[in-house]
Amino acid sequence: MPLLEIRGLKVYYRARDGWVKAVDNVDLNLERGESLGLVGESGSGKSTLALALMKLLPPQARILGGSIIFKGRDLTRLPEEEYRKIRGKEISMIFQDPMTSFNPLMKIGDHITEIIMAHEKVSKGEAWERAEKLLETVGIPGERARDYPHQFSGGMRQRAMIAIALALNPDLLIADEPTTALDVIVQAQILDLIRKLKEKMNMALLFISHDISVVMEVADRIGVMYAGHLVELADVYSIAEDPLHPYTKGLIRSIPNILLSDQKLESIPGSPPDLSNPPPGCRFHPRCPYAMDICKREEPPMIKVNDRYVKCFLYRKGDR
Amino acid sequence: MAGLRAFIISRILLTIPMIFILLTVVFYVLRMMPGDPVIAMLGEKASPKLIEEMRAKLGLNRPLIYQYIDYVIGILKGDFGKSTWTQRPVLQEILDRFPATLELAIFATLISLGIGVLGGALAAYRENTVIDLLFRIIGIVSYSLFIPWFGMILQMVFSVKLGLLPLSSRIDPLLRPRRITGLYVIDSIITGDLKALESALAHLILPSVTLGIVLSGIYIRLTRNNMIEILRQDFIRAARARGVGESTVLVRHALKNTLIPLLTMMGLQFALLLGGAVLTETTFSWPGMGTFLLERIDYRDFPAIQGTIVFYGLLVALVSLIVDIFYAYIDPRIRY
Amino acid sequence: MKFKGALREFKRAGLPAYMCLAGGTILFVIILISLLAPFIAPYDPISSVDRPLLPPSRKHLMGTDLHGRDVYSRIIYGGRVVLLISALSVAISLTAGVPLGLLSGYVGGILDRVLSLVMDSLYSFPGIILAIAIAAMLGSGNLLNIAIAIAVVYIPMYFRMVRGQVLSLKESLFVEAARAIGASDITIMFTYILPHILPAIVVVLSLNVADAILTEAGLSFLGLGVNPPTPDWGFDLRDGKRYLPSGYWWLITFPGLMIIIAVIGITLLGEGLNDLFNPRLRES
Repeated sequence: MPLLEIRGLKVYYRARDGWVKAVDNVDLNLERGESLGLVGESGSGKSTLALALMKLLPPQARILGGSIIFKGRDLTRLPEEEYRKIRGKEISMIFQDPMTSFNPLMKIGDHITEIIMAHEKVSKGEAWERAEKLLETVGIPGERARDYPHQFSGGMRQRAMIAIALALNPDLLIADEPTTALDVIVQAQILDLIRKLKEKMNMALLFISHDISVVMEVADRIGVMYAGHLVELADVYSIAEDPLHPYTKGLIRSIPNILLSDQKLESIPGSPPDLSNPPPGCRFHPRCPYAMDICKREEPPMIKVNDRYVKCFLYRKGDR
Repeated sequence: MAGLRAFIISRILLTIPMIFILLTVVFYVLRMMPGDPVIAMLGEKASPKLIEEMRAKLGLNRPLIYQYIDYVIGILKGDFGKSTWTQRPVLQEILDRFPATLELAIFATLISLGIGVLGGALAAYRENTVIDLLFRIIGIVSYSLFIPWFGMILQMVFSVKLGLLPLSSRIDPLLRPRRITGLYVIDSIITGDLKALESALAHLILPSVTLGIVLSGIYIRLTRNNMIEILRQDFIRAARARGVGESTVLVRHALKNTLIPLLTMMGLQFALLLGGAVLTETTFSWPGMGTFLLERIDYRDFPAIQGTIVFYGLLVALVSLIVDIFYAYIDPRIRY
Repeated sequence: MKFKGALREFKRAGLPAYMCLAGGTILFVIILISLLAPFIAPYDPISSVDRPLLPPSRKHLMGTDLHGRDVYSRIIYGGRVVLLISALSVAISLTAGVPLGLLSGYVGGILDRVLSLVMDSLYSFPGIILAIAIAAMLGSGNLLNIAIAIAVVYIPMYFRMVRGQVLSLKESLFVEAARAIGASDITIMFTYILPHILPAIVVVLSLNVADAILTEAGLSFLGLGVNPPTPDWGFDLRDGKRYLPSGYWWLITFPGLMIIIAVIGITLLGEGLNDLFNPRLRES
């Protein structure tokens, strides 16, 4: 049984005159210990999906349909108190900006003891010891636990965030743009750390980013999101060498290749649609170089191609 | 901790010229007041010779600048001069009245903070709901309540019509506790005088509720605005993501971060507290510094008026300083 | 058609617009009543027209005071004094505070240091106590004196606000451009920088008026404001206080209510304007 099964998830935001369809009918599976990368532009719905998994959506957002089955339980039907027990213990999340994710008035160590003591009955002293050890595992000297967040550098803060998230050995770690706010060298270190820890703890990882090249370094499988829809889902090699969906093709093409000296940087023309009023049919059709008539009228179904999935009329049975 | 020490020193250095300016302005400006203190003391019918003698005795016939220098030197030594009305040292008279104002101020602050912080936090947590609107309205209305009117209405209802609480003054004069600090509540607790405690508290209720409610509006607003900003911060969401209980999130994460900037505001609000206290004291015949000031204005008692104003200035400066230092100590971002 | 567009804009602005409307209406009504006082007041406010201490009745809507004067008429006329003094004091505060703030912020240097020090000392001092001291020294009764006493308390508020804004605008591009074309400092201060500060000034102004009304009432209540028999809401509270224990509630309830209504009206207007000029970022 997969660790996580998302079926037909719909997450909409209440706007002044209607709904913004941030996540529209998404199906997704995740196995234990598997690492799935979720890629998309800002506004594609990937962060909303992550927040929905944690039920940390802002008040104007609603889960209007679908189910999230985690370890056999439908999270959408879970009361808040039960959900609290899952957060931090079975599903953990780390966020983009390490500076603002810490309480400036609390020591780093206190953040860790807080999560431990929120879920387990241990003494403050025990929790503190564990906190120091956890910091060591992410490469920070244990005595730094006594410091305050502003005394840490950006990279150290992100490591500390990882330590907090992994304190209770969760089954699933959701990482929402964890490296976006960091410089390239630190970025590489953090990715390395995440990979190592994931292996050690046999943890499932949902890695979200707008940067497909970063995602490709950590993920086994990649899901591509566009305008609230999951448009492609495949293993990382297939995506890299043979992207199917026109949007994915565009994303892959836009990665600069250090070996190609004369490469012209390509981008995808146009901009993402307004999600309170998405275009009819396939949401990508206004920007798609292969758009056909049917793309403008009907929403394409998710089509299985070998072991992969694409949401595109180009791959209707018999067309490939 | 070197940063903290430097900060304290610079703050103190800044305060000194401010007090000095206040002193100077008060001294010269007060001399422009119509009315002669000596005449006020001796009566209009006193002979000119007597008046002249008294002036010389009080040193009022010397050039102003000498009087000023003497005065400043005196202040530095802690001597605020002698009252032209009672001949007693001004500082002593002020200190006699200070505990009354202090006690009123403390209780009023407790009430205003209580309502203000709880109301503001609730309004922020339930932003854009009816509760939020309610507290915003309370915030606006409460500050608009004219203190004397509000106090008198409360007097009318609870004292005159319902007879539940005493009308005015600080305590039943027969029940006054032995004076240790001058704060009746503390003194009666220390001496175990229950009757005094009861009377003191009963007399405190109306005035401190009056002042407290009027001042709470500001704290409601401040707390609400601060907390709304804080609740939008990432670390609140991060705390929830850790499975921390909602009440812990609110208190340890949101409230604590809200209260720190509130602290700096409290220093500024102290001035409002003192000002409001004057009106409250007058309404309830409360024997504090406010009523003292007004009384001496009537008597043209320059030294007393001067001394009281300088004392107010010193109080505000001192409280500001303490609050700033406390804030620098509490906020780890400044300390380290 | 323009009206419909304006109405839509108004509704879109939401709560702040309604606050301005409510506050503005209250203010407008009070001003109107004060202006039309001779025509609306049933009796002469300063002469005795009946037996003293009569409770509210059809003849005297709000009863009579201890001198036998009609309270309702005194309330209507009372607005005049209160509004006049408040407006005067605000005008003085503005005229003194804004240019000083402009000058100090723009010129900087020793002038700025000294002025800031003086203003900070005044600002941190309890307002009403300062007003009491000045009113005491100037002598009561004279409307101008009262206005000055109140005005001095609020000059630092304008000074600080204007100075702060000037400091942040001093180095901005459009000021540099103005200097480049040879505009004199005075021109820059008043024709370039000042218009940018106006919205902030307006907000402080409304706060100022509200406070000024309360301070004026306070001074009169303490006996340092207007002299009898001038009708004034604060002063009537002073008179009425003596008869409180005997239960003559109409002597204080109505004057006090007027003060509160006036202050609420102006505060609403000011808060509404503040929200309109400085909209806080809303969630989507």
